[in-house]
Amino acid sequence: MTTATQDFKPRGFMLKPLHMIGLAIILMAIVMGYFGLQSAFRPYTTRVNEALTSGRSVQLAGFLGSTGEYDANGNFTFKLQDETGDMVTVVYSKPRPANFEQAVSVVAIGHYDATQGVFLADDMLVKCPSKYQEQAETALS
Amino acid sequence: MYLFGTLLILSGIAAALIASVSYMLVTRGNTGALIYGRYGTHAALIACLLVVVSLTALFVMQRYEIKYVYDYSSSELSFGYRVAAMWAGQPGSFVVWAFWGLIAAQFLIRRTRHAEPYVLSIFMFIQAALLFFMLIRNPFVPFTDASTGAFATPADGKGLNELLHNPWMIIHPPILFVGYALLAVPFAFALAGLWRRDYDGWVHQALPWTLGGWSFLGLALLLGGYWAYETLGWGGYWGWDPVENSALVPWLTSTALLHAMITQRTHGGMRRATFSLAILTYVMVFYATFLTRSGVLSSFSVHSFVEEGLKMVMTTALFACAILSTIFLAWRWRDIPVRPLSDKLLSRDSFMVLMILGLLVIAAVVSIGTSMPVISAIPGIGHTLQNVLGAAFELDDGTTYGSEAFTDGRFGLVGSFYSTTVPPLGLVVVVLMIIGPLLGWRDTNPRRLLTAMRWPALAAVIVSCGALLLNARDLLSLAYVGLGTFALGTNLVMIIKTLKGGWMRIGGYLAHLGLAVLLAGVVGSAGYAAPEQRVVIPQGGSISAYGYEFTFNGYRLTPEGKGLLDITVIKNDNNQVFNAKPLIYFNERMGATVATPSIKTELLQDLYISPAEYMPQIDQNAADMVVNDQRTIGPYEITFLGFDASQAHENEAEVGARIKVVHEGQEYTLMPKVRITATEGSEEATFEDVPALLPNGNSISLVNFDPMQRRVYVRVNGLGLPVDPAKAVVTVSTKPGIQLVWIGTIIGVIGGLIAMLRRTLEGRGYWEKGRARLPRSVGDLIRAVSGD
Repeated sequence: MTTATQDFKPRGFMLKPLHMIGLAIILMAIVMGYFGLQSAFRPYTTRVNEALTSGRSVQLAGFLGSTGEYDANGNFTFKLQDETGDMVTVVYSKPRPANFEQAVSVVAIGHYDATQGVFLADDMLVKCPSKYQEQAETALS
Repeated sequence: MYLFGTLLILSGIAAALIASVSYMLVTRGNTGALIYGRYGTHAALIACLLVVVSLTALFVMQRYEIKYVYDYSSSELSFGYRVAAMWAGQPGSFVVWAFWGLIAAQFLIRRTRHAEPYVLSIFMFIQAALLFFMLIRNPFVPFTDASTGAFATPADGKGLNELLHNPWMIIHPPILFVGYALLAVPFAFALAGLWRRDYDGWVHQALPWTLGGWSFLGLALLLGGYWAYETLGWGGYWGWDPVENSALVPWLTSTALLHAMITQRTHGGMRRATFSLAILTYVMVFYATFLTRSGVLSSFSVHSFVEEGLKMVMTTALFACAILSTIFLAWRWRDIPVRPLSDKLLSRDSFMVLMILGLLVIAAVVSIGTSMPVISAIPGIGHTLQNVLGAAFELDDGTTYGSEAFTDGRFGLVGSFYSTTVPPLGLVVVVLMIIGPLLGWRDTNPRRLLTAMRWPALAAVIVSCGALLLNARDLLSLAYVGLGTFALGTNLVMIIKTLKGGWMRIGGYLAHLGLAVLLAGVVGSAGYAAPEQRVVIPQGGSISAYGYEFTFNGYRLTPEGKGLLDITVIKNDNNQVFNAKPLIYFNERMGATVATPSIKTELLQDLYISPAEYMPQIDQNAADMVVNDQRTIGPYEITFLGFDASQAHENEAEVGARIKVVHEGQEYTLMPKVRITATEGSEEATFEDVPALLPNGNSISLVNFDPMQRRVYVRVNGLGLPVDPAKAVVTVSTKPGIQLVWIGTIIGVIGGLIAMLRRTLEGRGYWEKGRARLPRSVGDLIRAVSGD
């Protein structure tokens, strides 16, 4: 007697535990990414005006409007100037960044505090005219 | 020199291209071209070697008439650093990268058999491209005077960036480029495999190269981190900076790649995955170098810089590489035989799938996050994204979103993005790493699995309890400690089991163990570290912090002219004394203040002392003034008017400082003096203080003066105002377990190298005798490696 062997592999797509775990991993990444974006988003702007009016955490790029010095609280402070000439006082809680005096442009990452009237910078990028310098900056907050 | 150097580079490019084209002709059946291919490869290496040698020679001989030498070195560099300055800039780094690649090519010729023309055709083309990039930023260009435009020879160079004056930073680039160069090999093999329709053989040959590339890339990441920790003074070793992230991504994808390759090698599954991953890894290597060098991130990262000219070429090359290889893969996609993977969840197959997914997800998160400035720079996309995100989000850092996008449109993500998203995903990978190594390929006996997990589970629980008692910071850290110990345990169990079959099989498990140790170090030094504290120590005084007593002895200058803070640290527990000497100084060349930390490495933790500032002594009784300066000391307002010098006798001179003193509304003009008497018959002179009397019975002395700078230092005697001592301001923190980060990485790299050795021998065995017998002793090993 001959019997025809039949392939009993189920047709169509069956959801296996493997798929579920895989989907869970992807979902987790999306969720974590959402929360991460919330706290880490920093729009870039070259206008002091924009940074001041919005009040959110931004990356403000500009030029040195004054030399830097330490204020009464021991924070490093200086004036940042943009292309239109607007100035804002920036207060940075860490020591004077490397190459500050030679900066061609400065990017301050932080937000404008309306109550104090200053831009509180969490981090600063100092751009110098020379090329390919591994200027490893001070810590991120 | 310019002509000679440029000719050398051009001949290197030409040789590599000739090799590539000849090999292509061989694939078409023209066997006569094979010899051109081989000799072209040899010639390319020789040309590249000559470029490396001549460029290094220019640096060693301090030939500043070459602009590249001027830009990156100076006469104060020692020999070692002069050599290393060669790869401090763009073209130097490209040539080192190409150099390693060309050395690899020589071995590829001998070892690839039938695949040789295919693999080398692609590989040599890549090397030609690298040398071409170098040509665009030709390092042999002579120095031209900015004002006249004529060739000139400056007396001294600009100098090497101070932060690169460090042995760790010197070896980091070459090691990194070894990793990058080796990762081109599986890429070339993959494309060759697609070309030849050989969907299995390439894996056997490419696996050792992939393991080598993976190990070196991991080692390079470690070196970069260790350098940051030891030199920069911010206390960390990983900053989630775009340059770091973009090198991490190919490491993640190459980890996924080598696991997929092992799977394919074992039973032929995951063929399409290995091809995709091999292509993806090299595209990511290229993307990493693109992000670093093209300047797209110049406003978003300190490591990036604007490099004219390279941007267009690199963008084109990157797109060409990615698009062409994807098309190639798509063309052969249906042709690749698919072997279904195991149905069971508890099998290595399934766990490999999950692990590759996990790693790719982390790589995607890091890659997309790092690329946000680039993505949002595409016209339209940035503004749209900002509007969408603005409408969806409410920030929780105290500021709120408006719903309009900024005019610029671009945005970046700061480091907190990665430190929030990556650790939980990493935890998933750790869980996979706990169970995965214990599973069988297709299926596992659940009881045996649980038995194998017994002791590691127990160890994990004990360690977690210990961590909990030891002041655990948060759930994630605790999870990492527990699961990390678990992973360490299970992989140790597997190592012990496999050792019976010979030590060479433990490579993978050892690498897992290394990773577990690394994670323990990361969690310990971050999650259990004491937060950094800013400490102000007066000279001669002490401050206590974190179980140590810090005494500031004084400030002095080192022979190199750097400011040194001499601090004695005594550990309260065992009275161990350590002399910390952090440096803080102003570097003229960089125009910046540089801080070098002092690190005390103990058994369980590191004590990290980073100098913030030195405040010199402030004597409130004294004043340092130039002409017309006015100071207030106590009740007196003092203005320095000028010097008054007169000679009383032959051997005597008097130098006086005319000062105006205002006291209680009354003005007085006084002159404290210094009488200089030349002693008979000797060169020396005695200085005698002739103070002037102040109202109220005090006197004022001229302590020091500099006629050249028209500067005086005067002190009021008798007031008894406080003298603020000199102070050292340092930031101290403890980093428990940070040694595990370094040790863990090294163990991982050793694991990778052992695996590489094993797979090399197996690869040979595959061609020659079928299954290779792995060596049992060192003698066996040497015989096997030398090609017995």
